[in-house]
Amino acid sequence: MFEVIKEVLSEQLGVEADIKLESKLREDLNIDSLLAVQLSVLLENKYDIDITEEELGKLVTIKDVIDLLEAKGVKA
Amino acid sequence: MRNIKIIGYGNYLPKNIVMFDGEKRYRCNGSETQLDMAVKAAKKALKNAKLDIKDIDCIVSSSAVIMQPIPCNAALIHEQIAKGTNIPAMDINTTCTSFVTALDTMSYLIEAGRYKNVLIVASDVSSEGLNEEQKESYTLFSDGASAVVITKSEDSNQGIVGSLIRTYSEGAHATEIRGGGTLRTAMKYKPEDKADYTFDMKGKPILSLCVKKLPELFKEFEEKFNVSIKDVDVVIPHQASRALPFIMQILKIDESKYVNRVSEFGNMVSVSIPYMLCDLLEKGKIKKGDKVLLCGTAAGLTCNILLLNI
Repeated sequence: MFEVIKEVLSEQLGVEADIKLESKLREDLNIDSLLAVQLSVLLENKYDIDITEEELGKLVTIKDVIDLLEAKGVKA
Repeated sequence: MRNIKIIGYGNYLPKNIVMFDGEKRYRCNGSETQLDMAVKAAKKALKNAKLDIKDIDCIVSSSAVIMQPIPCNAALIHEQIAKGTNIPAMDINTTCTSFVTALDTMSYLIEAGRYKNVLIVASDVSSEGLNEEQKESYTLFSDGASAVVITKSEDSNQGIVGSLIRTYSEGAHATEIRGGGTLRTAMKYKPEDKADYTFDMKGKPILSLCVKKLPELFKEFEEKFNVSIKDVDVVIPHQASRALPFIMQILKIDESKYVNRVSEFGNMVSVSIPYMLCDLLEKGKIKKGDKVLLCGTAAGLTCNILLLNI
């Protein structure tokens, strides 16, 4: 899942920073609210899940994203 | 193919400009009205077509928002430019894609011989209905107007190759102004309800629905009309938001192929698509024989795709 998220961020959303599990979406990866929404939408589409705006608002790091996907039943 | 052609066009922007983060937005600011701008654009289109209003046999307003509940926008425009004539005036409204829907719909009526020369006018003053507490939309929109005159073409290669419209009402409340109609009348307005009378946009549900629906809709369009978007000369998408490149990427439309002037103009609601079309025509960047794809999503959620051979 980390590799998928990394690929989505770098290949599809143009994030150039070095992406690690502990990377903070806003501070380290410069992911603003628009990019965060785009990331969530791409992950929703890929895994056939729904991510609410409230859930999106609570994500701080890449690990948080993975934890959320796992909580929604997405398998690694 | 429905053989129609654009014989006149005209754009209008309000004189007042505001800046947000270095980007211009055109805002009437009370100095001009939606009707003023509609009339100016309409007159420009008529002049460009070298026609008098008496040569027009239908006036269509393709705006997203009403000027007043009754009568329709087109009747108010008619009062300014066609008073005393027998020209019918009607509104066609699918919010941001109203122009595409109007072009699509009226092309059938021209093809059928019902009308000869149709004036389509888009005009919106979204700045009047924005919510300051929603920063993204508050800084996104511009006001403006655009008009075209269309007529039958004798060239069998000129006109509308194909068009699709779909409405996905699971997105009906993703973009809305709830107040001002019969569900929440202006008569019952209270200051604490102000948010209901201003524009409310939920970006994530819109984007989610677009990503789910648009790829299959474009595929359907290509298969139904035996065309490939790759062969189109220019794509004019609705200038909806800063997410436009993301949507185009999802649709695999290369950035060299589509118009993206969101940073210059913002979202002009129903005026975005015709404004860009008329601007390209005026600058000679599109010409007879070019294949131009008009597409966009609008409140509803309604999606339009229309392929026009200029």
